[in-house]
Amino acid sequence: MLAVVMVGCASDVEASGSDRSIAVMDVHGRVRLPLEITAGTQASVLVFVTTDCPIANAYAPEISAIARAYEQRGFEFFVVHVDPDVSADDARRHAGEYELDPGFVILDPQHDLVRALGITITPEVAVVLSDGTIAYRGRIDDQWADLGKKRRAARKQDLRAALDAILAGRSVGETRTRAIGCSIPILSER
Amino acid sequence: MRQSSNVRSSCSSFDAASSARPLPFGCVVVRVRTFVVWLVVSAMVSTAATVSAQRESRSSAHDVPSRVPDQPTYHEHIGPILYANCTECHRPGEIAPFSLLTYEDARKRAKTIERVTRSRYMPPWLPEEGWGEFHGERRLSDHEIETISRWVAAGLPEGPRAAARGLPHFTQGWQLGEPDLVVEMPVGYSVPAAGPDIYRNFVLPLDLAEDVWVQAIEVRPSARAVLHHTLIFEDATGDAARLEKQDRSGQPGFRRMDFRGSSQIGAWAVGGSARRLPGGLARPLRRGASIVLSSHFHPSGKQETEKTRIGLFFAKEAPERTLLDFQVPPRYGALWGIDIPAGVADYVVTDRFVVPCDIELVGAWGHAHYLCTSMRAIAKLPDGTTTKLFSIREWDFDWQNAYFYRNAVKLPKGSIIESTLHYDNSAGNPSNPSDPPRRVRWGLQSTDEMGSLIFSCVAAKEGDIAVFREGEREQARISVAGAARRRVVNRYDSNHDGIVTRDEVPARLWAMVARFDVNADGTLQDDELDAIVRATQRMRPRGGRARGDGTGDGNGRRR
Repeated sequence: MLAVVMVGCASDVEASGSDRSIAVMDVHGRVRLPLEITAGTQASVLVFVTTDCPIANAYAPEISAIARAYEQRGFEFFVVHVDPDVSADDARRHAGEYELDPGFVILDPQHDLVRALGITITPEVAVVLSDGTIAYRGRIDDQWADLGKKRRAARKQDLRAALDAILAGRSVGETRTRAIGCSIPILSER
Repeated sequence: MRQSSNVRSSCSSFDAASSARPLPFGCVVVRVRTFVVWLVVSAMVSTAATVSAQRESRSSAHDVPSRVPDQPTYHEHIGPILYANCTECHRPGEIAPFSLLTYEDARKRAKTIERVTRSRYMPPWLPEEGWGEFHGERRLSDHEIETISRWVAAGLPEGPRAAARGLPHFTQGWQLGEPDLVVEMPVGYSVPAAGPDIYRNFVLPLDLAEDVWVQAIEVRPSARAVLHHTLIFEDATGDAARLEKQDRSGQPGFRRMDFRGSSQIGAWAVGGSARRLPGGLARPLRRGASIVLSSHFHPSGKQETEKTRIGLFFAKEAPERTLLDFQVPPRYGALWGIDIPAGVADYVVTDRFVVPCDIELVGAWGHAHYLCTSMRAIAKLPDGTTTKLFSIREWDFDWQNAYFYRNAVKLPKGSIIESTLHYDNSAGNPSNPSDPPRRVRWGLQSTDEMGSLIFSCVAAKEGDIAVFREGEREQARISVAGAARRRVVNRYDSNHDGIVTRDEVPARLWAMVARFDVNADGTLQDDELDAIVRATQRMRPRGGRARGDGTGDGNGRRR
């Protein structure tokens, strides 16, 4: 089963060279290059969200907890807003409400990162290594079994497990999981 | 076996004691009897029927397409579907997380809309099609769902703006108009950003100078992302206020649902809107009583403060007909002896109610906790026909609402209402609150189970109410006896054939119960088991947790 999943995803395991130069803005108006993994950094961890997806919002405390636990250990975290109508001000206000570090928050209104990493859901996470490999993509954990089907507590901490594996120099066990949440907003053609 | 409550642990010690009495059977009965006393004393059995949607009839709100348009557009086809089914909640200031009032709103979220309508997660409407017709139905037709899919596949065309029908008229604020009485939680309850769901009860003093008749209760949460549902009780005993005073958490309210002298008078869940009881019916609310809100919160990712307001709508005068509630099985299944072994994926509770006089059903709903997966009820009429009364194919604890029949369902005396509830206590049920699964019995906490199909009705002849109540008492007696038998059988019937045989029972115990084996065939079944139940009931003095103030009649009130 796992093999099938991995074969099925083989085409997007490598983000192409040009993808690494994808530039987006953060909430302070600075240009950020989230896929360019600098020396001394293990990987970038990108969590895709919108301001109005209840499941993405419900994960805010867990996103912060994971960032606190892992950012000192060589991971760079990004919370990526994918709603094209969310401004830097909106995103900063949202970060304040949900106590997310505004330094993490970037905007992807054209979906450059969404496309490069094959993201379809909020909240969905991608862990990108320095060679462009997407070491893990999918859910943060399995607390939601489906929309409206929430476990009392998560049974599998998929994102934490992936980061632990990278830290230990092991390969990530399950590299792709199905995220539960809202579909990525559709961009206007106008 | 370890038992938790006092009653149960005393049973356990009986089991262990060497005594000449038929203790294991007696113990079972004591346990059941204590339940009965407590439940008769308690009056939390009257049920809710104040919630439903505000649209009188879907067909009058918009025309359901008879076929799927080849090239659906937003203004011609999608907007009308959303307005009729979604925007009551999905608009600014209302309970849903985002608005769906404009083309841009819908276009941007089209993939989500398609996914959640196809899976029927949205709009939230649990009753199964073909099992009763209810007011405010919010179920999309297959045609409508296909229309949405086609619109998405076609690239979300906006279509001619001239075809737009304009926004529906929305009532701002209270949906039923200005309430006769508005009550608010005196102090807001702080819900943390993260963690497990929270259940908490809040007391709202009413200071009513006289008894009133309530036709509707409307709930307005202040923190819409966190309050998922609330059950509304009347407490005339002061128990809830005492429990709140004893709470040491520093927050308003109290945790355990131990206010047994109160009766449920309403329910509200996200997606449900207020509705007046049909036919001028009303529920009594007594002078001096308080309202208790038993609320269920979902942490939303940020700290929020909930200060619920409720609006009460009174009848001008006492109703001519008495609203009667009954449950199958009775009392949320407390008498039935729900006892679900860990890991069992399909545990079934069935029960029946013989309708004691001609009645007209006006409302239906169900109640169970997280392990329940489905519930349904049919009526078998004396003329041999059957009527499908109510069904929820995928029970969801989060979307509890009450439903009113568009046309009252007439059931003649002698009709038999049969209910069936299914429970999944396996690890494969993501809603299972225990990981790994554990044995689950009846109880008030969300990790315990309950289960009933619940109906509101009137007697066709008002003079038959006493007959109806006696029918309910008989139903309770049958339920108690059935539970006692089930427990005996569950305990000793090792080959699960429904009969207790001599070789399934320890020899010393068999010596004590052999006299009940009237036909001396070495088995205990049917009447023989009932005789044991009756005999052990006679052995015990009457008593239990009797209280001075609460001689309820099973429907929770005496007026």
